[in-house]
Amino acid sequence: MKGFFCKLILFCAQAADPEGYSPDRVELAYGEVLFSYYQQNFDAALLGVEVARAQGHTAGAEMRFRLADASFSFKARMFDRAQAKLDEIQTRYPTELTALDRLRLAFHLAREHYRTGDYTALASELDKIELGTRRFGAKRFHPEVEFMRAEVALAAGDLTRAQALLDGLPKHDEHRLYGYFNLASLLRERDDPVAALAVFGALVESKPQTEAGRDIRSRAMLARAYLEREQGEAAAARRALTSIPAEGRYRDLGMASYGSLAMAEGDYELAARIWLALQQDANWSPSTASAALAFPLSLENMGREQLALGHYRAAETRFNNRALKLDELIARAEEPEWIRGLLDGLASDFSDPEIVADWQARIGHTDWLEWLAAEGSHELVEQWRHLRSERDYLARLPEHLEFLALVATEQQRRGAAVRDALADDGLLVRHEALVADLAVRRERYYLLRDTNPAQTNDWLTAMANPDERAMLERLARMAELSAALEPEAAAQWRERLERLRGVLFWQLVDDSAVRLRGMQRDIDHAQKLADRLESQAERMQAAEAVFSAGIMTDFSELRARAGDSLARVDAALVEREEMIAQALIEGMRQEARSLQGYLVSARVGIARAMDRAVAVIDASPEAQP
Amino acid sequence: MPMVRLQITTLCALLCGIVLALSGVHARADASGRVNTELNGEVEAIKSELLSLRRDLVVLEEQLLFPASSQVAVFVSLDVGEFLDLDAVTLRINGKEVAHHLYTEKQVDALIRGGVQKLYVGNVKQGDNTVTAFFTGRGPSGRDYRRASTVTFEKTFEPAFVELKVTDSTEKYQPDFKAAAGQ
Repeated sequence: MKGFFCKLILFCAQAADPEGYSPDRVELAYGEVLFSYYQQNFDAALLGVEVARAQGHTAGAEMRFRLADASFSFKARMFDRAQAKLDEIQTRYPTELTALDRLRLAFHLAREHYRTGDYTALASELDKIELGTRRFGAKRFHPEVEFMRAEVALAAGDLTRAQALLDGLPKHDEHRLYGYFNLASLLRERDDPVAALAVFGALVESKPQTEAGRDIRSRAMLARAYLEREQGEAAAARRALTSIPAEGRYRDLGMASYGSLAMAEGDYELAARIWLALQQDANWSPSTASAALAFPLSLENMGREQLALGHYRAAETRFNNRALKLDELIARAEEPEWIRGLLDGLASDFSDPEIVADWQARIGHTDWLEWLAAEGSHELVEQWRHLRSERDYLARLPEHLEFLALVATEQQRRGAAVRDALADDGLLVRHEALVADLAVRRERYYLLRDTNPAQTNDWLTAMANPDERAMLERLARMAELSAALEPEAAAQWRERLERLRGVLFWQLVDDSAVRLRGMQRDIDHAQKLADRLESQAERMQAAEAVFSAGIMTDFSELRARAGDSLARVDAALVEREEMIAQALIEGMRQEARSLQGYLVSARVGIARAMDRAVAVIDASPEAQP
Repeated sequence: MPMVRLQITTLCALLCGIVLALSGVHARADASGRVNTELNGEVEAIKSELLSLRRDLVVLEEQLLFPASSQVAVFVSLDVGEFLDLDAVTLRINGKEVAHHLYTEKQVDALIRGGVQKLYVGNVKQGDNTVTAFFTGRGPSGRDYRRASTVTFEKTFEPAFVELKVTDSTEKYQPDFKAAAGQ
């Protein structure tokens, strides 16, 4: 294994080409936010832009980052921020925008106008988007742009242009499917069922790759079936209904439509089988409730009055039970805790089987769950989910801030320790003294190395060791004292002293090579010592600077900000919980009113079935007198 | 997501022909319309507030935990990526394994589309440092592929960063690995 890694490392040395390019921190920061964006993590992408800006990694590419910011803000559903960024770009960089930037800007503005439904402004921005042609002359296009163009055409009533634009999109593209659905719906509204059927048909033929695409295709199947039935093409409607996926949110609707179609065609046996299957579904939904009524109705039409009577009564009981359950649920929905408990499961995933089971147990059906996940209230639930996750984050934040504050305090302590060490140990002073001493030593060394030995005071003093230097000083003092002697005695003294100096001189000359090497060693050693002191001082100064980083942070201010945000998030969360509760209660009341209608229908059915049963008994030969 | 004109609730009414069953769903959809217009602004204000709080915390955290004088960040980028289906990368700094990452399909796609992954942020000593990355995945012809890329850089007082770049060498019909450092 070790050998393998060695080989790898050897190989990588050959593979790497550090000369080939030089990374650019700004480009890396931009790529980093794109990495989050492409993974649909829009909040992280936005945070990346903010952090890059705060750390100075957007220098020279400010406008590009602003455009990215606007785009990510759209995706993160921060529309005001997106609009503000787009306005900023237009006012701050009117001349710096490149052709590509202008295209991007127009695209983002178009998205915003589409969102707000301003089709005039949308058309104006779309006109600015011209993507040119490919190498072989084919027109370049962006599916979302073409979709928005088709929407503008639909709004203007130009259905032919809308269709042409949508036809140009890849067959399975989600935008094409949405565009087709809207086009077909408009054709239907305009009483052109044939054209609407053709468009729905094209949509149904697609093979979408995404969940949303598959969902719209299923819707189109249902819509086509309805139109075909309306056109009297029962067989085609039946085919369309049988092609609806057996699993998924349209299953009940499809079955109910199929049962209704069978009833209309007088095929009560088939209808009864369908209603039976549907009403046996544990889930409560408008379709299953309808099936509870439609099943005995089919039996009645089959002449099975007694059996029908029993099922009408079962339906009545079922509706009564449901009405009682609804009363209980409406009362419970007034309790915030109960609503919170109900919503808790929604913090993760709507499609989680455990959540579905939980809702089934609490409410008796999952139709509400479907409604919360897919209908207009989706936005409200999304907001609740987002706020809930922010609240969890903010609840954990004090602990995190505490940790950071501890790190900052520790760094502050170390910074102070470094400052003290720099002052107490006198590192800088010691270094300066050592450098001065080194200069003296070097001067002496160069003098000795570069000059010939001479019996001068300078040479002798420079070469002598401390003992020899003391001896030389004694000889000099003795020479001075000899001046006080008689001239003859003084001359003898000086001669003896000179002899001694000469002996020392020749001794030094003999040792000079060895001594020079010793001096060189001492100088090298002192130099290393000085270098070490210097680097130690530098490191400590740098460390002091590092430890100072962040210690000025006002953690109490951060804590206060987090606390304020938590209070706002809590309030917004409660507000949404109340709104969801109110919407649920309103929906339950509606359902209760609907149930009254079901109950009336069931009782009418009971009465009718009883009358028929009595009539049958009366008409039987046994009943004849 | 594009808007669809025909609401599912309307569709229910159209298809089932049993109006009683659907009236409740209609009422719920109306309530939600009011919510969207009233509360979006509030949520956006909260999001903005939290975005700036998060930004300040990320910057502070980086300052505290990875000071400039010791900080090194390692990035991974993929150019084209036709000759390498990236599975994982292991990162060693000065011989010590500091990061290992297994890529999801989504992440590889994000890299191919021009995203850059910040694989690692940590601290290194000042002076010479060696970063080695071991890439594993499927190479040309779908065979298992392991390659490494290394770079030595001198850390100064400025934050250092290293880019590990995988490119396609059309001449060699092989992926090409590059590593470079900057400050």
